[in-house]
Amino acid sequence: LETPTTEAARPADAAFRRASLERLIGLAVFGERVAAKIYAVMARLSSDHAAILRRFAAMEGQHSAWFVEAAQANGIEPDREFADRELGYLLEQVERYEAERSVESLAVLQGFIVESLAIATYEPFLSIADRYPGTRDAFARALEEERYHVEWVTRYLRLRFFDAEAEFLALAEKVNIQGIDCIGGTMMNIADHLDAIGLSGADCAGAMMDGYAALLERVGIERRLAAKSVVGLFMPLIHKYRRGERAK
Amino acid sequence: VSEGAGPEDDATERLLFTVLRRFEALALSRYERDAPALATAAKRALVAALDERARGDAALEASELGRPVEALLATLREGGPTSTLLVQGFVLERLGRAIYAVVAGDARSGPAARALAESGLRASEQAAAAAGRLLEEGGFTGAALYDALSRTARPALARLDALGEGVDAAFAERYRLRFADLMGELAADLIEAGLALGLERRKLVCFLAGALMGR
Repeated sequence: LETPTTEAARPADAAFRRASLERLIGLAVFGERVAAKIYAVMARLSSDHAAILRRFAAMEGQHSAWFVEAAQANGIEPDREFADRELGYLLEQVERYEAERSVESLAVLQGFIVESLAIATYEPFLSIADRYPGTRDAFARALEEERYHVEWVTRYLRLRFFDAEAEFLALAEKVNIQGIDCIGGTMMNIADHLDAIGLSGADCAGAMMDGYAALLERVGIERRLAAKSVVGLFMPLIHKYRRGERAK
Repeated sequence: VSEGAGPEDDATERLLFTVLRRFEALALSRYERDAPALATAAKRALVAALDERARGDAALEASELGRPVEALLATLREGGPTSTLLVQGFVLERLGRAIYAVVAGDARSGPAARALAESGLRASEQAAAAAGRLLEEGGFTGAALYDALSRTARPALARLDALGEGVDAAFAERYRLRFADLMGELAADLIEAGLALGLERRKLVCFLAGALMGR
């Protein structure tokens, strides 16, 4: 299945549900490894915060290991090909920001946008986790730690851009264009898979939009502007979803 | 005809005002039937001015916006009084406001177009505010407002996406009026208005995401 399914042909059969589980757990397993890589890059670029960022990298790596175990416990083979296709665009952005030595860009991309996707999907997953033995503890602990990372990144950005909200707005606008296109695109690409395993892809998308907008607010972007910007950036992705096209 | 505008620009302007006339005329007729407080003198004057400006539907019928506009209008005709108040008054007046604000603030709009857009902006703001007051008076706050909104607004919001490509093709170059920006404005404005009436922000954003995704 190369494209999200359209409303008319959205399958709910066992094979699609199985494929959805493989894709979602694949994205979680390999996405967490990419998150570990991003925090490791940030640690190399930021001597002031290297220790805690290395610790975050290790925590993300641990999440990946937990998810591998959870997948094995349920006989699910993580779909690496799907994950690689979703994560390639993200890695391109990481390489560019690393070349620019922009820890702030990586902080917004990983600490806000990627973490918003993780939280928007892990949190509702807990409501159905008991259907998949061994997953509740892994996702609950990962969720708690992702929130901890977001809290730290929020404080870091608030201090870094203290009395410099306009500078932060410019940074967010720069990172958002490709960051939302990439990670929001992934959210659209997994929406039907989330539906297939018993969640609501639309609610997850809404939670990601609202969660990310709220984080921008916490660093100083006015509430209305944050919502307008995030929703506006999601609209082309929603349009592709409606047309049954892959978002990226 | 706008000062300094060429024939192509005039056609763009006529198309814009034709689209707005269709929606404003329907809104006014629904307000007269279901919510007279929203059928303000400013709204009536706006519809009359748009009628004069658009001079028929030919511009719309010849455009790629024709079919999605007709489809949305057909959906809007289906609702009852609650739908009028919520969908027309509380939601779509905010979309109109966003459109008028762009045209009124764009120096490339002719003086007459800017004046008309400013009238539209004021009329939409009045109607949206009146809708909010009526909703509050009618007990549509918090969970009750969410229930009514999710029951009535979903079909219209789902149809908006089909307008996107046509809006961008017709108006992005001339007015910098882009569908994604308009929807961002609509969502941001709805969130503010919803919060004022006790809506839970997360629930509202999830509802909007789902409706726009066609769920």
